[in-house]
Amino acid sequence: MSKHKKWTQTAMWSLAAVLLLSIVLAGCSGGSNNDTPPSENDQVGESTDNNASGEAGNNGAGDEPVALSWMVRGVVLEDSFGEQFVEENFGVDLDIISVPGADYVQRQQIMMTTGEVPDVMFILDPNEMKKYANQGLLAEVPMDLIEQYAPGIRAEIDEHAPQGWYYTEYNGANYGVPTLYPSGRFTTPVTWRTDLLRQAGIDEIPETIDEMTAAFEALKQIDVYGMSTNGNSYYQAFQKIFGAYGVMPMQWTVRDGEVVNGAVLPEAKEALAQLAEWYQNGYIDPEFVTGANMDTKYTDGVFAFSQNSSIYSTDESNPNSAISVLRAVNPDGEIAFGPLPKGPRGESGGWAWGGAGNIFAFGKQLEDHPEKMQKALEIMNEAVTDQEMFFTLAFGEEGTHWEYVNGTDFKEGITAIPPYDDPSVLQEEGIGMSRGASFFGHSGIYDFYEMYTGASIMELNNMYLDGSMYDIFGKPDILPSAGQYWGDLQKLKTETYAKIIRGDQPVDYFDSFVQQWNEMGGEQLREEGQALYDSLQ
Amino acid sequence: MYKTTWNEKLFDTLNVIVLILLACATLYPFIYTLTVSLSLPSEFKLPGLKLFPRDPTLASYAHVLDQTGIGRAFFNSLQRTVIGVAVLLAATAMTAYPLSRKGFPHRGLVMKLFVFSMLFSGGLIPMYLLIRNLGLLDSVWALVLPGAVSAFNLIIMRNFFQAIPEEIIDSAKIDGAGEWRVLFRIVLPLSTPVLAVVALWAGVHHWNAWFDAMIYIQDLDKQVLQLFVRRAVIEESDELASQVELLQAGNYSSETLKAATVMVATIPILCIYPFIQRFFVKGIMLGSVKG
Amino acid sequence: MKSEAAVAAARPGRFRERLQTYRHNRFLIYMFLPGFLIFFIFSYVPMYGIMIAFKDYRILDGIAGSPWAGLEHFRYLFAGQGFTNALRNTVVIALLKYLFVFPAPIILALLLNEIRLSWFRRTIQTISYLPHFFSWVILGGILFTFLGREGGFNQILGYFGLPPVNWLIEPSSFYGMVVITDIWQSIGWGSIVYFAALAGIDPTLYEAAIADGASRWRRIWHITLPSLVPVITIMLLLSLGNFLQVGFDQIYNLMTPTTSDVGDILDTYVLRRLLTMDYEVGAAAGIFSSVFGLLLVIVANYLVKLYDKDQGIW
Repeated sequence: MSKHKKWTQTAMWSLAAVLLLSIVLAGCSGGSNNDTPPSENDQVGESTDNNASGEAGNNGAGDEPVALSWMVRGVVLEDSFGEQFVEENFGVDLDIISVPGADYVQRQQIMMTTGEVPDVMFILDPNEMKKYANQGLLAEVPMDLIEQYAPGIRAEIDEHAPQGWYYTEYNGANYGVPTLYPSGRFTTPVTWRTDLLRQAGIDEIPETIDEMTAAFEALKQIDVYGMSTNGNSYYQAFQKIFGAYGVMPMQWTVRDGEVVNGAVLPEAKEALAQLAEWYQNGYIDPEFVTGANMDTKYTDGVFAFSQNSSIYSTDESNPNSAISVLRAVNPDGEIAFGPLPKGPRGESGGWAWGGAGNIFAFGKQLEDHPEKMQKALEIMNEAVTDQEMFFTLAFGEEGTHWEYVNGTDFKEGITAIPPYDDPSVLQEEGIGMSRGASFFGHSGIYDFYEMYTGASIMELNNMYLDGSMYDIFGKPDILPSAGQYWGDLQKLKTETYAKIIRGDQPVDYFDSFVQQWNEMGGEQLREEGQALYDSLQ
Repeated sequence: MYKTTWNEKLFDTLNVIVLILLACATLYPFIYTLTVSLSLPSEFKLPGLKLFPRDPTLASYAHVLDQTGIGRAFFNSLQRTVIGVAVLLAATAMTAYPLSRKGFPHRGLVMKLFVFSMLFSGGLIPMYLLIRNLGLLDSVWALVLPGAVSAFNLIIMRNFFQAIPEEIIDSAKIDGAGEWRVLFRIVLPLSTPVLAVVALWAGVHHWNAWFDAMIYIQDLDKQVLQLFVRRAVIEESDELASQVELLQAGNYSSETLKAATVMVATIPILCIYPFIQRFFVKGIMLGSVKG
Repeated sequence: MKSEAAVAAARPGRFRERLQTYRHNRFLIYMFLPGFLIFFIFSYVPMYGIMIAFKDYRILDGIAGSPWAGLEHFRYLFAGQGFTNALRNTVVIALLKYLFVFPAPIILALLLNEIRLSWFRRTIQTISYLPHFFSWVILGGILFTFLGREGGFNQILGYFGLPPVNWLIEPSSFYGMVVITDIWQSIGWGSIVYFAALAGIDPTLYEAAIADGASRWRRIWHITLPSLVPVITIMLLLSLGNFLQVGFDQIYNLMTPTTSDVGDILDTYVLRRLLTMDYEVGAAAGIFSSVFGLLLVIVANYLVKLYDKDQGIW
């Protein structure tokens, strides 16, 4: 019996232990949601207490360095060149939180949601920033402060990319610094397989929709489709054709003071009618909806007009450019840039994102430590506007990491020296988050972009500058209710356009599409867009 | 003695043909990826079925293997796989065996708990907080322990254990064997096929898993190989960056590098299957012994 | 504890009986507890997170401290245009997959079991499981090329004088392609568990049957298949819990604007409604398909037990 009892006790104890442990653990994990942000703050507070004492000296030289945790997108090794460079030049003590690009968004979300908020962080998508701002995780960044500590960035955004301020706005306040995106000002070039055109008996590169129709008919006779496109993409699909009709589906635009979306404008219907006719006549690759293998089909001579080409398409020195690949299969192949096709009213255009890219934002804790935010703004400003600083942080040192293409000056642009031609190697040094962008300020001002890109490419770029069409908000999905409606609207648009072009639905189906669009939230978003547009005028 | 009929010969022939066709179809993605990985970037863009590289080159492999930390990542993957499989097999077998015994108290309730856990989970945030509070962040245990006793493996294993005739276990007990002895000397040896299956599942899972490592492992030195693959394979999520900058990067051929990365990460795990296969055959011999 | 003791006092006989079982099984319990503890900690401790689907999650307040939102997130989720369409597609695809994809590995295992050349059997086995190791991103790219208008498949059809078809683009052939490509990807890997079951069959059974002059078919029908039934049952039951998860990666990578009407499933629908990661709505979606799966498993397990008391999960 005593043995019996002893065993009961053991059983009871182990059961109790299990329960207790699970309850304690549950309590910990449940409660820590509450506990963690403050404790995080404590930590920050501690480290800044040291600063605070130094701060009495008011940022004078010889102070203890300002400590900043800085979340960067890319693999940066500890004590990298970039980190040390910034620390030495600005008197800061950086704690770089390095997250590989592919993991960045999710890791940032998890860190933010569980209370590990960095002092400074790069945020890819304005929607993310707005969500964090809504949760009270970000510090407000008054425009005056930007004016005072990052005047160069302020001026550049105002001049080249005012829509950037829509990215960082939330509920009427500003929560970040938009980054510059100089190459976003240009729409992608269009190219033609001129060898195929010649085979079909066309000697001039078509410049208008009518000339294209004629060329496509001639190409059909030699079994080549006129064009293909990525029909899966809500913004790429036939963008240059819509541009020829003066409309860019899915972009918000202003007509007579009214905010409207290009997807439901009558001009889009016009363009669709033209495309449907082309499709019916067999000018368009029927597989355009897959968006797959576009490169292969182009070099294989399946279609002749590529409306979304690389600016380096005709660069024979680059083994992976379209022309080099083409020549490998077909030594007589030729590719040439063409103008953006003109429509019946002489309009032309293509999708461009505009000169604003992503966002730098600051953790809520910096509201109590203005000196940190100021320091961070200063760093960003210098990294973007100071020529030496910019080139050092975005490309590294001349002679070590990069050199001039022509050996002497910026005329032909610059090129990386191996092994730093591999962006990941450069990144590990804390240099060059992407081409022409640093971890500490992202892209440099527009003048620098022209310098490192080189005159010949800039000339090409500028060919497409006039036709570049921008969303008034930069990205069409930044409106408050976009999370709820935008995905469905994208699907509706992509699906309906494909149906009309393929002839599964008549062109007049467009009218019922407009109605559906408005019912599915299009109208709601339009109103929100109007309000936002009006508020920032 | 039984004689094969004409009918059965026809069946055998058809069977072989069907299986060969199936093998051709299932071999294709492997051949395709292998070919692409051995091609020059410019050659990838040429049309064709890609059954063999025209001008084989190891350039992509050289590039992939040249990445900083890939050796380390390979080791980390190997480590989590070995520890993961060992812990999973031990813990699952020890939990499954009692549940396969008819007299085990609250058996039904426990099984229901397992099934329920298969369908519902608390989600990412509580899990992350739990791992953090247990101090397991940046530790291989964060990757090993959460899935060590999963309902699926447990139920499969328990069912195989249950199929072992009661008499064998009873007679062992009459001979004085304790539960541990029964488990290790009788049940497990009779269950090698299912142990092999679960080990294979676990091994492949651990080798291929990346999401947990991405979330729980923040130290770049402790990252696993599949995160390299993911970095190579996923599309640039940022539309802004993708449109112009990637085009401008130009001399990056992601397709061949992608293929080489996938191959580097896949081939090691493919090699273990032939070893696992032996256990299936071994099981048959043991089965005959037990009869 | 107190009340338990009270209950025990009220029914001393049963309590003692129970203690007897505990005592009798104590070594089994010791063996069982460590694994169970691991399971419990990592499965049930975070379970409080389910609440997030019913809350208006404020990060700074934590899950427990956030205000309740009732069924708001479910309403948001299901109010969207196209929910019913997505649900219908999901159920159709799920049923098709149960009809064609689920039995495929079993058939493969049976066919391979009839092969006597062991090197041939092993080679086919090894090859057939290869596609499992390639993600659908990669497989999708390969399939679009192979099944395209100019692709290899249409070339083969051309030898038989058949006209080319855009297999993945035409809505009418989309479900067929989903089923076939799923079989292609999963058949070998899925058959592994059945090989294990086949390995457990006592060869003397076959020997006896052969001695009795039983034909091949009778042997398959009376020996091989019955010994697979328990595994098939359990695999079926376990998969029912994921009934509404019909393979997001596959569908997502094969869908095009022409097929998004028929291919839109719950997972793609949810993804579309979550432009930015929204934990609450995501959790609500998860709970919906889990509850659905749970009901299916309960019903199916009940039916299985009606047929054979010893089968089933619990």
